[in-house]
Amino acid sequence: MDTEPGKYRYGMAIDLDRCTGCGACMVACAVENNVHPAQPRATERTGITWLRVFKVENGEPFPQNRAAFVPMPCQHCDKETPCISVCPQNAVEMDQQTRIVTQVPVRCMGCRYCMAACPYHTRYFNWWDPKWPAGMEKTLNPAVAPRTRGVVEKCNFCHGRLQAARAKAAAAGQRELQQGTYIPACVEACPTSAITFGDLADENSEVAKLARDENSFRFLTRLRTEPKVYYRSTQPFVRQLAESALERLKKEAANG
Amino acid sequence: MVRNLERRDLFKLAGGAAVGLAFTPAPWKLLDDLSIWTQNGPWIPKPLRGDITTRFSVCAICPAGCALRAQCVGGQPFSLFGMAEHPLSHGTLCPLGFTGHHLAYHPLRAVKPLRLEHNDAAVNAVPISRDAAIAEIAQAIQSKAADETIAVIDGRPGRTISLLYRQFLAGLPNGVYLREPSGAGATLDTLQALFEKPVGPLGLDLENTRTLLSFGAPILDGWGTPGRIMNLERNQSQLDAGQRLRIIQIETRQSRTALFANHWLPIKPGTESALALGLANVIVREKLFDEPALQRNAIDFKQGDNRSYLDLIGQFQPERVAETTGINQETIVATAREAAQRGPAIALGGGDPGGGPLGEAEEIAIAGLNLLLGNLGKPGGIVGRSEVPTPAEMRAAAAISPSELAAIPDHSIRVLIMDAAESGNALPWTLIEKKLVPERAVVVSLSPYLAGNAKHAHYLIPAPAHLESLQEIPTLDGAECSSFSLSAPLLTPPDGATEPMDFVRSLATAANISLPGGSAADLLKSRVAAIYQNGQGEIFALADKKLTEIKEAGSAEKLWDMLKGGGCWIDSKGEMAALPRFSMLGKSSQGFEKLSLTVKGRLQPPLPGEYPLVLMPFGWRGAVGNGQVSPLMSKLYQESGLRDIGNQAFINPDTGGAMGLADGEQAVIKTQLGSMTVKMRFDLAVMPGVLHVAVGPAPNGTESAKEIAENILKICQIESDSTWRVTPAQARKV
Repeated sequence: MDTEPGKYRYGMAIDLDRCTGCGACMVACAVENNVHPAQPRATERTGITWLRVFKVENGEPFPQNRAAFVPMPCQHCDKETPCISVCPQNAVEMDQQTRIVTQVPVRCMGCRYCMAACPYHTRYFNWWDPKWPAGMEKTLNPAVAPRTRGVVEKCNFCHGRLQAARAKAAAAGQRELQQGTYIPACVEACPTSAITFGDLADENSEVAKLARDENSFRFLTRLRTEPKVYYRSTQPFVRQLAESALERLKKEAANG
Repeated sequence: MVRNLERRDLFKLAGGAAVGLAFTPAPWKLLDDLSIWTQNGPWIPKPLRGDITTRFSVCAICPAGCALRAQCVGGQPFSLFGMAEHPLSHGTLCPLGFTGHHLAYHPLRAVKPLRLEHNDAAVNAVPISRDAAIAEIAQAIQSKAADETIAVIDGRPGRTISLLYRQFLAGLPNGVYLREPSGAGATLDTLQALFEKPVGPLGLDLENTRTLLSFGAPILDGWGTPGRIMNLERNQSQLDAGQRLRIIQIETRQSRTALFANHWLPIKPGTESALALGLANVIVREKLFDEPALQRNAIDFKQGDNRSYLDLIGQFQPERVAETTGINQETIVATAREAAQRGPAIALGGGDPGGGPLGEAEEIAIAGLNLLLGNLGKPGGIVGRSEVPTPAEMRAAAAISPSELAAIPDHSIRVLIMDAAESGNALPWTLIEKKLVPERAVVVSLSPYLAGNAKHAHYLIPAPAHLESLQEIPTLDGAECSSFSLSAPLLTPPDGATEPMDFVRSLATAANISLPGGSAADLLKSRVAAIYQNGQGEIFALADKKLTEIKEAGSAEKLWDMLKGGGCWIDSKGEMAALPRFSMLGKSSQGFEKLSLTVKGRLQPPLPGEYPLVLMPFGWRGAVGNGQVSPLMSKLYQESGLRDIGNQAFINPDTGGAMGLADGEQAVIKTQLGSMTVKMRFDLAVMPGVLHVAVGPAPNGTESAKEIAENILKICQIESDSTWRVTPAQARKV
């Protein structure tokens, strides 16, 4: 069943014009993947949010100021994937069947090279033991193992859901996953249907069509890592973000 | 030759071994294993193992009633999602709903009855048996003075228990049934109050509306049933441009609705009434309304005594309104024309739940705008809907009418029971406190959490938490049709939790008041039976995931089972009774004067020199007013900076700079009622001269910062109509 290398190329298209920044994707992701509430002292740098929603603004004064929300999961870079290149433990892999970049926490030794290498800052380190308020550990998803202190974790397009979909398809005697039978939690949770997930290798899939939309873009494309998460916005200031982020990095490099 | 081993040889061996060891993997492996051993142990939580099942229910965190599909392991829910086929929620759940199964384990959960002793600022919680607590509360009821009242404040009116409360209060000499200040339903409630005689419940036919003037209602941020609005938005792309809904958001703050509305009118704080009346001025001046119909029905539209609606709006010329509201004259005229010509149009008030309700004058002005637009009883406008049928034995409840907190005399409540009104981050305790008899009042909270307003109570009789008991979801404010569903329990409540229905019945027995018998489930069953016997409407059943006529259920018992399994009953669209005559200025004899005063806004300029800023609290519907929030969700929002929670104040950089403040630094906000320290945040999206402070549960719910959301409301000025939206304030560097 779907074992042909590179047969699928799973990716996402996120319509920023539809995203209202409600955070349902972020919350559903954390519940699905047993992300723990962390320590009260956790900050935006030390906390764990596999999918983080950023607010970006156009920088204009009141009342011309406008904002948009950018959900940022792992971008699942398809080529020269930086985190895979630098991992000394082989704890980051590209699933050849699905092209999903996966993290293997039991192999991770916590060196955090992958975090340094990731241009999107979508990898998170467990600074503390996973801990839930008393009783709440009963609400953990049995399909996903909690990670321990000292390892890195990140979005894997809900690997547990992929396995469940495969098992269900196999039980039904199907050799291939039907379209829509495997979607990550964030996609299911989005109340405005802003996130579309599917097989980018299938040109007729909804996600592939959206990826080709004239208002679609990806972040930091000049790094040539071919991220598989596409964004769409009709607002110029939002589209310019993809380039300005790189400009900032260049300036920082020039200034040492 | 045997050489004697010397001490030096031993040193060499040890040194060599140490150096050699360093070049082998052994120490590094040992270090790695050590780190793994210290990271793994019995303290790492393990997910439950067992059969995976799917169960269905309805979310009861807020009154929206979104359908739930719960995945369970060994009966314990671990994942909640919506149901796409559900006719009311269309598969949508809000972030709070996704974490609903966490709420029973919230760190602030109360699991047994408590007597709360207040010593200065500290609260000492002492366990007490339920019977002893009820006996003491009954004693307080019986010892009240003749001019004192016994009140219940009901955060979720319309439930069967709401009827039971009213019946209980009707049995007391001075019983008062109070509703929490309303948000979503405020405009419709105000309209009802303008009619000469009742027209029955009202709803909004948003699916056919083309222009929506929202006066701060969080339409795109959780208003009503979120799935209804999201479904409406999704369907817009299938309509011609001329048929699509246009949302015009009138709000000071750049809320999410303001960001995603078709048009945002950033209005100066407290001037909504002036704008509504200014829009009316343009509509009347340009004759964009049905004058004969209005002349026929309105009592005070044009009555020739210089105190009519026409005289009132005559004071609200666009140029004057522009000065008051900060919205230019051309925009006011264009908006009025759009509302009148691109109909059906609805004007909706309510405000955001964290900021508190709009005031009486604002709501009357908005209701008047609706009457002028002539949208009542028409598709796309404000429509009639039926009442959810009530069992015959509960009809005596109608003997006591609901009251608003603002209408209750100060220092008059001897015993106050708070149900579903636990959230002190949306309803200021200061507003409740001034209604209590000083020193002698007894406050009882039925909150599942020792938090918010429950901390001010004298007795906490904790109710089961979300998903722990059978809850009913009656029709939501603003819904187009009546509906009814049941939230079936997925968890077992702790032994110390008490069903509010059982509590009120026990209290009634202790106070010698007769109430209908049976368990909480029996009462709910009798209501479901009344719905079945009424024979109207349709039932959505999970078995076939479609709507069928209610008679298809076969019997009241089967309807009960269908509802308990995640189904819902929806009535057909109601007919509005013939429009009665109405007053456009309100029933108060001072209506004209009160509305006239709003021509300069709530805060008459100039603001006092000592308080040059306007403090406006704000909150997000999901996080305020509905009890507690999952610690996981709070933490995610804290880390992402997505929701502004608690201890931060937002100010325009120009205003902040002029006041000597700095971004990210601590500052003190002071009003005439007190002060508090916050972290100042410069934000270009904030209107100059305004200070926005977020209310809502603090990150993780257990930190010292949890007080902040309540404290900010303590320093907000509560006006005579029980609003607290705008308060003169100052901010200075610490």
